[in-house]
Formats: sequence, C-alpha cells, structure tokens
Amino acid sequence: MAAEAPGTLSIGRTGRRRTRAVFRPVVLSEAAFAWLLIIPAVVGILLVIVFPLLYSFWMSFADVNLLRATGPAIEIFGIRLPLFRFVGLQNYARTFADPVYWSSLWRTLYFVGAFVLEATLMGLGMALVLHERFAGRPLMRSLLLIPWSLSRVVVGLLWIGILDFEFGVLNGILHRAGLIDGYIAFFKEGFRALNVLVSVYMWNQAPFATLLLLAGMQSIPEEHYMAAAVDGAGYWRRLWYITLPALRPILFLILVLSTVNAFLMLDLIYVLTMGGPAQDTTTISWLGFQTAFSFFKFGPGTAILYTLTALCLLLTFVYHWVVLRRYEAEA
Amino acid sequence: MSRLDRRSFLKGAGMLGASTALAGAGTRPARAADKPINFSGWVFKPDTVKDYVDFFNKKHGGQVKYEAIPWAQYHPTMETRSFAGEVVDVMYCAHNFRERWHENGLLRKVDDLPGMDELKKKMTPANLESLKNKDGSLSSVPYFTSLFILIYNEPMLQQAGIKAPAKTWDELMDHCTKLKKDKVSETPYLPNWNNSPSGTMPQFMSDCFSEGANVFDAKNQVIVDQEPGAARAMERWQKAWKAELVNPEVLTKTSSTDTHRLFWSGRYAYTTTHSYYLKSSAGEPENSKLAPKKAKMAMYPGTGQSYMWTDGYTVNAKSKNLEEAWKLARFLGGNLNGDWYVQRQWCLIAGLDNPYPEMYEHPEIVKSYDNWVDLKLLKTQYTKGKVIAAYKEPWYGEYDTKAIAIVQNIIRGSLTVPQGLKDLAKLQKSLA
Amino acid sequence: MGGTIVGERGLGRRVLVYGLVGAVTLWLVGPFVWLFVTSVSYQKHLLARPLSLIPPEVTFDNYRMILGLVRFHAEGQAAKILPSMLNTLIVAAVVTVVNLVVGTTAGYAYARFRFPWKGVSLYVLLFTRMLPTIVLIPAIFLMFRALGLQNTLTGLIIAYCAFTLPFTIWIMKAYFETVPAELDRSALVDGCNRLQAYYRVILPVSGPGLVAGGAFTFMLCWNEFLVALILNTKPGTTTLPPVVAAMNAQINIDYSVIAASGFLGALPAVLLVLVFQRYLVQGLTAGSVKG
Repeated sequence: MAAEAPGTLSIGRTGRRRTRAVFRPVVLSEAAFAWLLIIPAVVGILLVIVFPLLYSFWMSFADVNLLRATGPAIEIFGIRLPLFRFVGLQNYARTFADPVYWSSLWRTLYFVGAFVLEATLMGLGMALVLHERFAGRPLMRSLLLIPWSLSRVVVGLLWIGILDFEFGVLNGILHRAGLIDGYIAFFKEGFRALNVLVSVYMWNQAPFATLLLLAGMQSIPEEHYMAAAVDGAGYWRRLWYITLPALRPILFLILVLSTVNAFLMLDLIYVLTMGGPAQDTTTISWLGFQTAFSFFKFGPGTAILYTLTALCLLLTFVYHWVVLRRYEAEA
Repeated sequence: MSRLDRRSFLKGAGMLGASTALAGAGTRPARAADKPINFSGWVFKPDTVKDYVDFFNKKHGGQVKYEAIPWAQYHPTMETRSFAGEVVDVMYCAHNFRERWHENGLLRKVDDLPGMDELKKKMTPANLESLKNKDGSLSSVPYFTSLFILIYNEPMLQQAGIKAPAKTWDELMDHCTKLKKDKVSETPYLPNWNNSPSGTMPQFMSDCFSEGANVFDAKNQVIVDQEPGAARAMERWQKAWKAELVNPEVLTKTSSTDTHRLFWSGRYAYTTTHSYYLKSSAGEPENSKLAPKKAKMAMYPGTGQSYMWTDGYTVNAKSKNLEEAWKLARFLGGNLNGDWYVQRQWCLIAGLDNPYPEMYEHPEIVKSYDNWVDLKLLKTQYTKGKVIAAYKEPWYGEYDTKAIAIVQNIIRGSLTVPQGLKDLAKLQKSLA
Repeated sequence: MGGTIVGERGLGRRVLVYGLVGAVTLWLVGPFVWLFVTSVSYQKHLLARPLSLIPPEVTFDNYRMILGLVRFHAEGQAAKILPSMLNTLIVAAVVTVVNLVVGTTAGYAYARFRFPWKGVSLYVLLFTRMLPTIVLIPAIFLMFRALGLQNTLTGLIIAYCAFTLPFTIWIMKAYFETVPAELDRSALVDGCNRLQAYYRVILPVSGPGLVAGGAFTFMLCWNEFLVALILNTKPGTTTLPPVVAAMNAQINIDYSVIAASGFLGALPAVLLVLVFQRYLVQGLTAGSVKG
C-alpha cells in the first residue's frame, strides 16, 4: 500500500480519510466512476421532480385558481401549463402580514423542536437497549418496527382509542386502578393537545431512528470497545467517545429527517384534531393546506408551504454546521 | 369468497320489491349510451351509491363509472382533475363549493334542460332558493337536505324524573345541570362543536336562529355583534362549558359523525346535530344503545328555527355526453320517468331528507320513518328550517373556517362574548 | 456498544436491562395489541364504561367482513382491500428493489469518493424531500396524465422511486460512512477493482444498512396516500391507503372494523420485517481487515 500517498487511512476518533487508489491504466478516474454510480438515481429523481418543483414554485408567485386554466400558458412536450397571473411577492407579503401565520409558526417551531428532541432521544435510548445482548433480542428487533409500519391514519385512530376522554383505554385502566378520579381529557387544551400530537408522532417515528442507529452501531469495530475497556473506560465514556462520534453521519441524518417530517406533518393532525381546539394545533403545514384547499387560495397556500421548505433548508445547514463540521474538522 | 349478488343484497334490504315492480312496468329497451360517463362523489355509503349506478346502468342503459373519494380530499381532487383537463360528467358538490365552481365555469346551468322546470315546481321554495347560484341560475339538482334537530335520551330523562324534553334553552340547561348534579350523567349535553365545516359554525347558526337572531343581513354581512339573540346563545355556551356539562374533547372531534357516535353510548341526555344522525341513534340497535326509538326528536328550542342546507349533484360544463349526464343527474336528484327511486332509497337506508314533499307521501317511506322518528314532527321542524345565502360569497370558505377558532375561543372563555362576536364581524369584513 | 451494560457479572444490571427491554416492548407493542383487541371486539363493548381490557366477547367477524366472507353493508369497499393490497405490494416491492440497486450504489459513491458537484448534488437531493407533496400534486398529476401514466402501477412506481431515492441515498451514504474504509482498501490490495470491492466486500457486510434502507423505502410506498389517491382511481389500480381511508370515512363503520382493516394493512409490512430482521444482526466479522 502506498503509505506515503496523501490521505492515509486512519480510523477512530479522528474520523476517516479516504484512500486514493493507485492509479493503474484504468479508463475511469475516481470522479467519473463516482458519477457513473450516481447518474441513474439523480437523473431519475430530477426527471420526475424538477418540473413539478419549478411549476409549483412559480405558482407561489401567481394568482392561482385551479379551475381557471385558461389564459396564458406555455407548452412543453405537448403538456399545456397554465401560467396564471404573475403577482410577484404578493402571496408571500400577505402571508407574512397575517398574524395567524406567525402564531402558527411559533407553534410549529415548538412542535418540531419537541418532536426532534423526543424522537432522537427515544430512538437513541431504544437503540442502546436493543444493542445489549439478551434473550429474545431478534424478536424484539422485529417488534421494533411495528409502530412505524402503521399508516398514520391507523396510528391516529389507534391512539384515539387509547387516549379518548370518553372511551379511551388509558383512562379506563387508570380509573380502575384507582389512580384517577375523573377522566383525563388529553385533547382538551391546546398545549396539551400539541404535546399529545408530538408524543403520538414520536411513537410512530422513533423506531426508524432506532433502526438506523442500530445499523450504524453494528459497524463499529469491536476492537475500539475492547481498547477502551482496557483503558478503563466505563459505559458512559464509551458511549460518548466511541459510539456517538462514529454515529455522527447517522445522527445528522436523523436530525434532518425528523425535522423535515415534523415540519411537513399533516395527516396526523387531520385524524386527531383538525388543527383544533380553535387553532391550538394548527401548524404551518396545516395552515398551508387549509389556505390552499379550504380558502381556495392556492397561490398563498403554496407560498406558506414554501416558507416551510426554506425553514427546513435553514435548519439542515445548521445541523450540518453543528454536527458534521466539527466531525470533518477533526479529520 | 364469492362475489355477492347485488340483487340479493337489495332484496335483503327490502328494496327488491320496489325495483322489480318498476322493472316490469313500462321499461324501455336498453339502449347503450354512445359514450361512458364518469360520476364522482364523496364517501357516504359508496356501496349504496354503487347500487344506484348499477340499477341505472341496467334499467336505463347507462355506462356510468362511479368513483368515491374521501370527503376531505373530494373537492380539491375534483379541482385538480379539472385542472389537468379531465372531465367528470356528474359530480357531487357541497353547498359551499357550488358558487365557486359555477363562477369558474365548471358547472353547466340546468335551467334549460328537459324536466328541470317540473322539478323546480316540486321543490320547497326555501330549498330551491338555497340551491340557486348568486345570479339566480341553477347549476345543481338536490342530493339531500338536512337541518339541525334536538335529540333527547328518553330513558335518561325519565330516570331523573323529567317528564318532557326541554322546550326552551333555559329548560335544557336546567335539565343538564340537574342530571349532572344527580350523577345521572357526567356530561349530559352533546353539542356539535367539532372542527369540521359541518360542525361548529352550523351549530352556531342554528342556535342563533333559535334565539331569533340573524347571522347575516340581506347583503350577507355578518351582524351577530348587533344581535342580542347571538349573545344569549354564546353566553349559554360559555356557561355550559364552564359548568362542565359538555365533553371537553368535543372541540377536537374531527367530524360530525365522530361526535354523534358518542350519543350511541346512552350517556348523554341531549344532542343537537344533523337530522339524519337520529336514524343511526334511534333506528340501529346493533350500534346504538338508544335504539329502538329511545332517542327521540324534539322541536328545536326557542323559536324552533335551525340551520338548513342542501347539497347537490352537478353536471360538468365540459361534459361530452350531456344527454346521458343529465339523465343520470335527474335519476339521482329528481324523478326520472316519474320515479323518485334514489330519493326513496336514501330515506330508507340513511334517513336522508330531500326537498321534494311529494316523495314523502309514499307509504313505504312513512313506515320506514316510523322506525326512528316522528315524521310529522320532522316535517314541522323542516318548515322552520332557515337557509342562508352567504355561502355564495367568495369569502365564505375562509370566513367559515377561521370563524371556528373564534367561536371555540368564546366557548372556552378565552374571548368574552361581546369581543368574540365583534371579532366575527371584523373577520368577515376583512375578507369581503 | 460491544453489547454490554452488564459486565460479565452484575445481576443488578441484568435486571436493569430486562426491565428496560420490558418497558420498551410495552411501549412499542402495547398500542398495537390494543388495536388487535379492538379489531376483535364488538363496538358496543368499546363504547361501554367501565371499559374492560379483555373483551367480554371476541369476534372475528370484522375480519371476515373485510375478507368478503361475510356480508355487510360496506362490502363493496371491503372487497377492494385485498386487490389493492396486492397492488401496493407490487409497487412497494419493485420500488424497494430499484432503491436497493440504484440508491445504494449512489450512496456508496457519495460515501467513498470525492468528485465535483458532490456537496451540491447531495443537498439538492435532500432538498427534493423538503417540498410539501400537496403543492407538487397538481403538476405531477398533469405530467403523468399527459404521459399516459395515470391509473397505472408503472406511473406510481416511477413517482415513488423519485420520492424514495433521495432518502435511500442519504441513508446508505450515512451507513457506509460508518463502515471503515479499511475494508475497501484491503479489498483493493487483494486485487479487486473498485466495483468489485463494492459488491464483493462491502455489500455483504452491509446487511443492517440495506435492511434499514429497504425497510424505509418499503414502508414509504406501503403507506403513501395522497399521490396514490390522485393518480390511481380506476378500480383495479388503486393501492391500499386510499381504500382504507374511504372505508374509514363512512358513517356507521365501527371502530372495530376500522381497527381490523388497519391491522390487516400493517400485517404484511410487519411480517416482511420479521423475515428480514436477522440481517439486522449481522456485524463485521473479525479478521476481515488485514492487519
């Protein structure tokens, strides 16, 4: 191996570098080879997404009425695209001027923050537990994915069956056990309802974080732990100095995915609270949906939802900076 | 699993008699339609609607293809279809979407189509008015009519020594307070305060009407802040919430169906909801503890007036087979060949009412209503049904949805009644 | 981490582990068990107070109704459940295979190599997943309709691949980054070219990652609702979520029937995971890295 080649491999806390393969007389450079592997996926995605993306982005700057598809249009590949009336930043301006937007925004940020925290911690906790050796571990790992495999409509209905004030089983159990006198109304107040939403969604999503983390944990070579044990490191030190750093890419991914999912989440609200009581569980996603389809304002609705996209992007860069930058800097 | 025969199912539901009689009497030779037509509706007993379609196809030689779409996505899906150039010839349309679809050229006016004049004459005038577009033209034939009614739990009232259901709102509140005090029921009152378009606001309008208050003036402006009746209704609502006479989660139920289902448990004394929900409460022993006929209807308290509305079937303006589409529309929403077939079936199966008084004279209908409601009382209530015209305004959709938040905040006491009512008027003005 | 909170001894810690395992199991599975109990109960018992955990009467009628063995008033809708389940299975399976082949390979490339436009393309891919589906739908519908892909399983497959590939790429990239590059290096030393290093050495030990990526893709397809609702409405081309939603939306359908349809809908996905879970347990074999 050309040890003097730049970028020698090293593993462990300092991260890893890639090796450069010795250049034989091979047709493809590394970059070309990589692109060859990537092209099918990228092209496939772009072909499907690019057009709807551009078009819907345009719609956020237009006065859109889906029923009035006459008027100016362009033709691409035989598809006629109504252009509607361009209104510049009006949709966005109106959105930002609406107090309901801002109250929904704070609510959404709370929801996302609480959810990401809960889902990541719970996911990590479960992964740590399931990584231990115990009888029945394979079975447990299969059971893990049950909450995640249910469609959100079923998840919502299921949890209503558990939490409902009138006929929920949780209230029934607590009451019979003598722990509560009256019944608990989980959805009565907005803040409580919002927290319930977070927890139900977390129940649905955390197992996937666990799955990813478990997969990553499997790849950490045993030797690292053995070396650490020899050095006298206990459980928590091993966790903090070996496991978590190695899992950084996965943790980053989990943070990003949970954030995006939480921002865009819609169907659970639809099944559990319809944005209520009053507007207490109305997130931006729900507001955008209402604006587009209940108020018939498709342009502003699209604009609202694109502000969500912008927020997701922003947070992704923050995560990248916080989680990955330091990681790469240590390389 | 064998594919089940539709006719035997119809027979099972007691309807085959009717259809065989009709099939025998003067059937035309089946003439295949030139083109198949598409028919879409939201999900409400889609199996029943499929039966209608099959019947139509067989008896009238149609080639109708039917598709049911879940309620929440129904109208947006129809609009997306239209946007992409797809034509659905006959479509359900809820009253609050109709004006928009009409003004945007999606619907064909039906005034000039054969048979419409006759149908207009057979409709009750109030419902005909509410079916019309803002400009007075008609783009819809009726699917069903409903209004808010008061339902009471007779065994529970009797248990508490209450001889007759409340006639005034004060009486109702007194009854509920007594029932709670006597621990007969923890939450005796079940209002339709859910977050769906058929929930809180229609309930609000019904209660305002019953207190003699108007919600909209002749120009469709919101005037509840000037109506003492509206204030009275809201104060009562606040009181009921504060006294915990109401299930605290009633505000987050996602549909009127969910709300009314609670009544089946027999743990509530009074509920105000859509008329057809009484059928499942009082007429279906397999579901409801209050069947048979332990849940009963009473006249709406106060003035007896409550909110009434009509949803309909519409014909697509771009339909390529107008003749067939109109035939289907008349079959569904009227009396094709003099037969009120679909109207009757809806009454028998689901307790759906319609604005054609003539149809109620059929003995089979009278008998079926007997299973769950006093038909005379229901008819009287219908004479007091009040319709609005405000949903024909372009701002109505947004107003109606945002108003729910204001009203629910009044209920919970986060807004005072005068402030809340003022906010409602302000909301409407800001959108107009 | 090396699998031990417990030392070689430590009964107390053993109790802790099993206690935690028990708690996690209850949390994960309890609600699902309740779903099953609901699905075999009669609705009137579910609305009763006090509610009993063990239903006084158990019935499998709800399942029989859904499977068409027993008549009931929503049987037309129920009859659609099995065929649409099959459609969903086909779509999900094909999309998962495509993702595992194409997406994993791309993920590997992103994990191991440097090349121009790498960072940008990665984030563009992730960005496509931050777009709210509802705003994309009119355009997607327009496009697919014009291309004749409406009401086809192929159309759904293409659309779902576009939605799932970005995730798969990112997941596999993150996963491969935890696999030490030493393995690649030793494979190259052994005379493999880069491609062979990938599928002969790296892939076989990537079971856990593949299962994660595959499971994610499968679930996404299995539960996707909006696009399937809009695109595929012709009977025979529908997938499961819209059919279940339509059933649930009906008046008079009991909770127990809804629970049964939900349970049935989840079953194939859960069973699949049960079958593949042993690949989750694969780890690096000692000695694969030459000293």
